[in-house]
This record gives sequence, C-alpha cells and structure tokens, in this order.
Amino acid sequence: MLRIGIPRALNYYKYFSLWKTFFENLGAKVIFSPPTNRAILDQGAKYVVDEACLPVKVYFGHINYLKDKVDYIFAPRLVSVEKKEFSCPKFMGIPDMLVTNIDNLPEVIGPTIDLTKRDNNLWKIIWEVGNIFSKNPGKIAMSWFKGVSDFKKFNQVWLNKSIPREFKITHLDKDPGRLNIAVIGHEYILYDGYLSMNLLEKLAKLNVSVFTSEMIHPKMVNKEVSILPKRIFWNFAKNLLGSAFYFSKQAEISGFINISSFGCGPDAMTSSMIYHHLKTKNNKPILNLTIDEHTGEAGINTRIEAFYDLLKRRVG
Amino acid sequence: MNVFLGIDVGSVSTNIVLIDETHNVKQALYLRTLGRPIETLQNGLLKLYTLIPRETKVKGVGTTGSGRKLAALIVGADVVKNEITAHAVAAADQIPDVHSVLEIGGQDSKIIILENGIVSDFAMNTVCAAGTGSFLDQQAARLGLTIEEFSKLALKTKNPVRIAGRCSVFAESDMIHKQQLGHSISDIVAGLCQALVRNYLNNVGKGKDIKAPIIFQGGVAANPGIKIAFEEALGEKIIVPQWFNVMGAIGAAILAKEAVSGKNETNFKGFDLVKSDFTTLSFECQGCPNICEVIELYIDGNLKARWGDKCNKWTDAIENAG
Repeated sequence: MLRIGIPRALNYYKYFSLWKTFFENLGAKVIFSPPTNRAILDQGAKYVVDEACLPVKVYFGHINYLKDKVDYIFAPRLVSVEKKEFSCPKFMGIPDMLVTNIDNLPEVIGPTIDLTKRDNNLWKIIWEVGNIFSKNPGKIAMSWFKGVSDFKKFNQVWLNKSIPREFKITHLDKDPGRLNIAVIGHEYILYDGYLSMNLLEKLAKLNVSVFTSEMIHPKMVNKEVSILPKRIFWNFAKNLLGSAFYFSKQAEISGFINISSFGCGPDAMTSSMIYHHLKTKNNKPILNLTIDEHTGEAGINTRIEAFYDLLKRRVG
Repeated sequence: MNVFLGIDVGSVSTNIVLIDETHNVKQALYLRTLGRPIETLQNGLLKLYTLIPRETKVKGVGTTGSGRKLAALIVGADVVKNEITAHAVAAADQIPDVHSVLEIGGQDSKIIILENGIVSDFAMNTVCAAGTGSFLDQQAARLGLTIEEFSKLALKTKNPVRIAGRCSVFAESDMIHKQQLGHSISDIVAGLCQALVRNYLNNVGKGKDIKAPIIFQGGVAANPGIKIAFEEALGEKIIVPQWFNVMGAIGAAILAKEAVSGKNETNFKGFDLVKSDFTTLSFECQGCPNICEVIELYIDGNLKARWGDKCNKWTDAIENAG
C-alpha cells in the first residue's frame, strides 16, 4: 500500500477531512505528522528560508518529520480557493521552497490549485493526482465525491458554532453564563496548541466560550466585507475581517482576541483594520497577541488573564 | 495594627509594600531582583520585619509580577494577580479619576486606559523589549554612568539629538554615531528619552485614547527626562505618583484586602518563612519531543511544587499527592 504523508500544519486544519477521505478511498495509507512539538519547530527553523513566518517554519518541520516515513508527500500549491481571491504568497511558494531546502524528500505531490478563474482545471488535477494511486476513473471520481461530502460535514461542525473534536481542545463544554470571546486568527495558529500556546484551551478553562472565523458562513463573510471601499483579494485576510465585522455586531460577544504571527504580511493590515473597526464602530475591547518562537508562556498568560479581568469587570 | 502585604516580583525589581486598612502605605521596599527572586524576596521580608512594630498583624497577602506564582508559593498568598490588573487597581486608588496609566518597567511596558475606575483597554509591548528600563540601564552602563546620574543628565540638555527609537540595536548605533560627531552626552541622553517615548507611543500606545489625568509609573518613572519627553509629546501634564516604583505591589495588597474581606483568615505563612530553606531544581522531561523544562520547588528539603510542563503530568502528580 502506498503511503502518503500530510503535514499537520497550515492548510491541514481546513482541508484534512477532504484529503484523508480522498486518498484513503483510493487505497492509499494516509500518514499525518503528530501535533507540533518543540522538535518539529526546531527542525523546521533549521530548514526553512530566512523570511518565513512561524507557521511556515513549523510546516517545514512537519515535512521533515514525514520524509523518511512515506512514499509521497502531499503539499499542494494553494494559489486560490475562491474566485478573484488569492491565498498568501508563502502558500503559493510551498512546493518550490520544499524541494530547494530539504534534501532527500520523497516525491512531492504539489498540484497547483487555482480557482480564481472559471476554467480552473480542478478535475484535471483530481484526475492526475488520483492516477498515482488508481487507474480506475470511477474510483477516482467516487473518492473525490466522498472527500467533498466529509469536508462538508466537517465544516458543518464549525457552522454549528462548535470546534471539531479532531483538534482535541479540552474543557470546551459550554455552560450558559460564560463570557463570550471572538478569537480572530488563522486556523493553523488557533488550532495548533503549540503555536497558540493553548490559547483556546486556556480560555475554555476560564469558562469562556470561544467563537472563531470558521463558524461564520462564507456568504455572511462576503456580505460583511462588502462595506469596505475596496475588495480584499487576500482570501484568508477577508475571512478574518468579515467574521470580525460580523461578531462586532453580536451583542453576546463581549470581547475580541486577535492572534497573529510575527512577520505575517496580510495580518499586519487586517489586525490594524479590525482594531480600527472595533474602536470606531462599537468600542468593544480587543487584545492583540503576537506569537513567535518564544517558549515562555508567562507573557501570553498575563495578557489573557488581564483581558479576562477587564471583560469580567465590564460585563459584571 | 492590621496590614496587607503586596509583593511584585518583576524581572528587574522585587517590590514589597505594607498598607493599612485605608490603603496608606506603611512600608515600601524596592529591591533589585538580580536574577535571584527567592533570595531577594526572603531578604526583603526579613528587612520588612525589622522595620515594623511588633503588634503589626498581616491580614492578607497578594502577589503580582512575572514571578507572582513563585512568590505566592513561598509566602502563601491569598490572591495572585496579573500585573495589569494590579497596576490599574493601584492607580485608580491613588488618583480616583485617572484615565491613562503609562507604565514602564524593567522588561515590559504597558498602557492602561480606565473609565470610571474600571479598565476599558490595555496593551503591552509585543515581542520586542526595546525602550524599557533594561535598555536605559545598559546605555547608562555604556556611558559609564549610574542610572541616577543618567536620568539627571537629560535635564541639562539644550538641543536634544534625534535618535531612532524603533529598535534598541539601531538606537545604540545612532547614539554612538552622534557621540562621535561631538554631540554632548546630555543632548544624547535627552534624545534617547525622546526616542523611548516615541517608540512607546507608536507601539504600545498606538490607537489608544490617551487623555488626562495621566499617571506615569514603574521604575522608569524615576527618570525626569522621560517624564518631560512624555509631557512634550502628549501636550498634557504627567503625574508621577509618590509610590511610582511600587504601584504593582500596592495593587496586589489592595486586591489581597478585597480577597480576604469577610473571612478573617489568610494563607500567609508568617515572617518565620524567611528561616525556611527554599531551593529550586530543574530538569528536562524526556517524555515527549517537547522536552519541557520542569522546575521543582523544595521547601526545607520537601518537594512542594512543580511547574513548567506543557502536559501538566509533573504538576498534577504533586497536586494529587496533596
């Protein structure tokens, strides 16, 4: 059985259900790297290009972990997942950065996924990637449809305002009367406990109900960002902004935490836009957290505790 | 006399205060931590003990600062609070209508905005510690001055020079450059004060609604040069409270009073604790690839606490043991 390795980093957090089902139905053995740990980060920092942000460093560490354990590595070049919108420039360069920086890689399956245009060749890609594992066109198509179905089910968990249990965040059981905080940040930071220093779990332990961008329907996000004078063509940034705008209107959300990685280009802009919007439109408190390679958690704990005190005293 | 003890264990200083029932400061100690928080704390408590009348009764203890958890374990605290809340509580107690609190400490800086005595917004410096007390310390040492001489020099300036405040490494090269051009030290020091203030307002203070009354506290508030630079930049009068360098500890003491109100008992172990032997040991846990640094606290040879592990297996082992 052919083994395909998928790093537990970056777009894993959004698409793993689709990929897992697709490849398993094709008869491949899917191997995910373990949750991020110090060894993975250290290895990633060793192999990565200089200017990368922390999540990309970690991605390289995951690839390094997988490289001797699999026959193929799945590292798609995600150029765009929505019409006339783009992912982040670093996502677009992932397969190239991998092959030039890590030696002795197994074969990298890195199809270019670009849905900006109507004629996006998605079926051609499904066909090409599927062909590596099966020559049966019916099986490839069926695997894809099953994958899409699981992907939709997975997304529905988020849309039901809960956090998928695959991310193993404990203490999430919600009681009424908790504080509600919207946590705005990329899913590859939020749901990676090592990168976010267990932010979501720490909030849950404080009896806070967490709301994230993934819980807002894409249609709603698009509607919210339409108030901006110019269209935002960075897809991830648009999702963060749109959901923050949406949450800012919800009376039950008492505060915002915006978490971003040091050196993230698009976030430098969105963080500032979100902050400005919250301050001018409805004056809800916001805490900005920046993550980097620090291992000391004292700083982040102090900020979370102080923010919690602030909200508690306001809400009463 | 009934008093409340507040302890603020920071990166650079360890501050201990005693306040009475009406929040008057009875004793205040500002001690350099010197990388030995436990020893400093013990020495501080011993010194405090010699300064207070026999009939003094400690009714509650609060700890804050980056070493708050360690301090709480050692003295037996009734409340352990983050330094933002502690500073805000103290500021609002000293100047009830305070709106903005500028706080610059050894390795962090923060801004707190209050409305009607309640924190409405705050920010701390992010990954960078540029423009905090440690940087001033370093530059004073480079010029061969004590920090006290350094802070007075800025007042003698006639024409402060422009220094890049964005990053302390760049600031240092700028300072060296200006000094080689022949600018006087007082002009350079004053320029540095302005750079630090600019950096603070553009980073920590960015987008914050800074309105009077403004309080400036933390160890760096001892620098009149910085206070003047703030007044020039903001166009407002800056108040440096009498106890500016121990405000966190005062806040912790006030919070301790709130925590014990109505239950007439405290976790305080008493001043005898200075006779106990506190030792910390650390080891790297090899249980998983995270290789956490686990710290163990021994009191008189008995293992009393562990922390530092991400998975809590060592921490829990101790808590379950009682």
